[in-house]
Amino acid sequence: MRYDTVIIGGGLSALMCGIEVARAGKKVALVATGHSSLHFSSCSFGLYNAKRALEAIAALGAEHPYSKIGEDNFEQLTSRATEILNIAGIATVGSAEQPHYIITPMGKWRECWLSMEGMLTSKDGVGVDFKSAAIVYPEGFLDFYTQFVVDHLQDMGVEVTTHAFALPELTVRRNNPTEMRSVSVARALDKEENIRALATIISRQVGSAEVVIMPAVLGFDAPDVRTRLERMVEREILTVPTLPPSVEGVKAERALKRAFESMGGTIFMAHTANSYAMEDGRVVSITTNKGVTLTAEDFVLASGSFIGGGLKGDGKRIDEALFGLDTVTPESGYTTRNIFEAQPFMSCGVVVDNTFKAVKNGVAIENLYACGAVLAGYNPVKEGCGAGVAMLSALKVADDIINR
Amino acid sequence: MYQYSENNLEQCTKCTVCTVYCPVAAVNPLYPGPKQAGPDGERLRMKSPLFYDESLAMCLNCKRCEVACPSDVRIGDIIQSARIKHSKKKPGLREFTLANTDLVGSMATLVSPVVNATLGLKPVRHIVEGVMNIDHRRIFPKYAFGTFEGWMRKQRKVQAQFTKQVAYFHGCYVNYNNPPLGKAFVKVMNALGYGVQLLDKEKCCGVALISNGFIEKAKKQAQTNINSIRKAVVEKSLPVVATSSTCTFTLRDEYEHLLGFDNRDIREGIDLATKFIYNLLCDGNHTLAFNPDAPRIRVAYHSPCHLERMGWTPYSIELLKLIPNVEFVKLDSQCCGIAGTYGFKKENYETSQAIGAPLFAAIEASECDYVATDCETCKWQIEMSTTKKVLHPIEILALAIGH
Repeated sequence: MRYDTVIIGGGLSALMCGIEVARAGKKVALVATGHSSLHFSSCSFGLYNAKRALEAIAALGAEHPYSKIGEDNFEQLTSRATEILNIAGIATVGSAEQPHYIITPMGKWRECWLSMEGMLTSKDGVGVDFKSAAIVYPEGFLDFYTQFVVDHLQDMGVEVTTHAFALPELTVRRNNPTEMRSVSVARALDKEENIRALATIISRQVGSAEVVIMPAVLGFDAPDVRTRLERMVEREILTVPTLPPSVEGVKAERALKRAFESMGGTIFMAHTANSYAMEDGRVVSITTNKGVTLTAEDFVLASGSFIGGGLKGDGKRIDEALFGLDTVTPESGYTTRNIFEAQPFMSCGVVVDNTFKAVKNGVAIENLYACGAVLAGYNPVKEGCGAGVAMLSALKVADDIINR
Repeated sequence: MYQYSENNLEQCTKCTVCTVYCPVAAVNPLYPGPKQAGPDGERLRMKSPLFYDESLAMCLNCKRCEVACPSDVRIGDIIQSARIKHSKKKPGLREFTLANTDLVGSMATLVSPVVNATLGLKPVRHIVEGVMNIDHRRIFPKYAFGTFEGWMRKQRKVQAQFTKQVAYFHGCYVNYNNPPLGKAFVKVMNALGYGVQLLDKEKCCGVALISNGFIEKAKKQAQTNINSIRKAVVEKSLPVVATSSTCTFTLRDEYEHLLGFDNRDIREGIDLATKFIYNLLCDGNHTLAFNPDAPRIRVAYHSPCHLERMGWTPYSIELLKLIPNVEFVKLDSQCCGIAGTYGFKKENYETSQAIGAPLFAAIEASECDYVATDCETCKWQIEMSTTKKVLHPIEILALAIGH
C-alpha cells in the first residue's frame, strides 16, 4: 500500500508526528505492534528534571536530542505540542517556562511540564495551597498506595483523613483481583448512578476537608466525571496517578488516535514491521509480520526503546530491531550497581544527524527519521524528559517532512 | 526466541494492557478477564486441569486482547484452547441449531418465506426462548429463497469466459441469507476482468462449531475446506477470496491455532475481498469505471474484531475511501457484542447489548446513510440495535459502479 509518510510506532511520539504530518495534508500510515507505553504513564509530561528546565536544556551536550532540536525552537515546539494535545481533546495545565510539580504514585513531588487537568500538583514542589484533605479510594483497590500520599501531605503540614468507599459493582469486581484495576473502577464511575452513590459517600464522610484527593480513576468513556462529582460534593477533587494501567494514559492514547484518524491517518494495529527495502540509499518500503508492504516517500522510526520493541539487547550489545541502524553503546557497561543511579543502558539508542535522520554504517539515510524513545543521548528516567523528547523530536521531524 | 509453551504464553509480562480492551470484562464483572482467564490461569491449568473454570465460556473469542498485547501473546487462543481441552459442558439442541449453519441454512432456504415469517412473530420468539434458551429479543437473519450456489451454477458459462479467475469462498451467510452480497462480489470482479468460480466443495468454515463445542465436526469440515482450497491454490494457482472477515480468519488462523491443521501451504492463498480488490486497483493494471451519477452517501465504517486481528482493516478503509461518491467516517474500533452465535444465547443477551451500546450510540451520532462492515454477524447486531442499514464494502463498491 502506498502512503506519503509511514511511521513505525504507535506511542506518544508516533502519534504526535502522525497528527502533525496528516494535518499538513499528507497521507500517513502508522504501524503499531500493540498498545503503547502511555498505558504505563502517569500522563504528567516532563520536559526536564530541573527547576529551571529551559536553562538546563541549553547547557546539554551536542548529542542530546534537545541540543539537536535547538534552543531557539523550544518555545514554538512546546506550545505546538500543547496545542495538538488540546486539539485531540486532552486538557492540560502547565508551561515550559514555569515547571510545576506532580505527585507520583510513590508520594514524591516531581518536576513536570504538562499535567492533566485536575491532578494534584504543587507550584513550587514545597507545599500545596490547602490545609486539609480527605483521601477517598475504592476498597480493595491495590494499585494506589494511600499511605505514601498521606505521609507526603502530612510532611507538608496538611491535615489528612482517609476514606475507603465500596460500590456494589466494585465489590463484585473484587472476586477477580486482576480485574479490580484502575480501568474497571473508571468504567464503573462512568455510570451516573455510581457517581451519585460516590458523591453521597463523600459528602457524608469527609467532613470539613478542603479538598478531596482520589486515585486517577474518574471516568473512562463518560466526559467530565471529575467536574460533575466536584459540583455534587461542592469541593475541589484532585487526582493522583495509580499503578498501571493508567486511565489517563489510555484515554490520551485513544484521544490522539482518534485525532490522527479524523485527519485521514490510517493505523495498522497489531502489525510489526520486520523487513524493509532500500534503493539508492533511500528506504523504499517496509513489510510487516502480517505480510503487508507499505511504500512511502518518508519513513519515521518511532518504535520506542526496549518495551516498545524498537531496541533489543542481549547483554553484550544493543541493536535497533528493524533497520540495523547505528546505535550508541556505553563504554563502561550497561548498568551500574546502585539502582537509583542513572543506568547507562537507558541512554542507548539509535544515532541520528542534526535533522534526526537515522544513521546506518556512518551514513545518514535521506528519508528515514527517528524520534522518541528509540533515540540515543538522553536518560528519560533520570532526566525526566521522556515525554518532552518524544513530542518535540516528533514535531521537529514532522516539520522537516512537511517543509521539504 | 525459543518458545517453551504454546501461544507465546511465556512472553506475557503481566503488563495488564489486555484487561483494558476486553469488551466482556468491561461490562460483566463476573468474567475473570483475559489476563486471568488466559496466561495467568493457563499456568495453573498446566499444573492441574482442576483449575479450569467454566466462566471461560464468557469469552467472546473476539481476540481484541491479542490485538492489544504489546508482546504478541495469543491470549484468545489460550482461552479457547483451554475450553476445547477442559470444558465438561456438553452442547445441546440450541448449540446444535446455532452451530450447524450449513444444515439449518439448506433447510431454511427451501421454505424461507415460511421460516422468515414464523421467526418474525413475537410469540414464536418467546417459544424459541423457552425451548432453546435463545433470547426472544434477538432478531434472526432472514433466509433467502434459493441459495447463492444455485445462482452460481447458472452463471458457470458466463464466468468461465474470463481468462483470469478467482475462487470465491462465499460462506454460509452469502449462500443462505444474503446472495446479493455474493452477486455484488461477482459484479465487481467481472468489472475488474476476473471470472468467479466456486470451490469444488465448500463447507461452513466452522467458526460456530468451534465456539459451540463441536470440535470433531469442525475438524471434519475444516478438512473438506482445506482439501478444496488446496486444489484451487496449489493445483490451479487460483487465489481463494472471501467476503466474510470471520470466514477468512477461521480458514487462515483458527484452523491452525485451534484445530491443529497444518495449512501453511495454502494460508497465503486465502485472501479477503477488500484486500484483494484494493491491491488490484493499486497495481496500475486495473481500474473501475465509477458511475458519475451515483448518489453521494455518508458511510461509517465499523471494523470487525477478527478483521482487526488479521490486521487488514486498513484495506477495507482505503478501498471505501477510493470510492468517489463515498463520504467516509471511521468509527472507533470496538466490538459490537454479538460475536457470532454468542449474542443469541439468552444468558449472553444483556452482556452482548451492553458491549455494543457505545458503538450503537456512535453510529447514531455519525449521521451516516449506511454503516459498512465486512462481518455478517456485526451486520445483524448493528441492524437490530440501530436505525441504520448495514452494507458490505463490496456492496457499496458495486453500487458505485452500477448503472
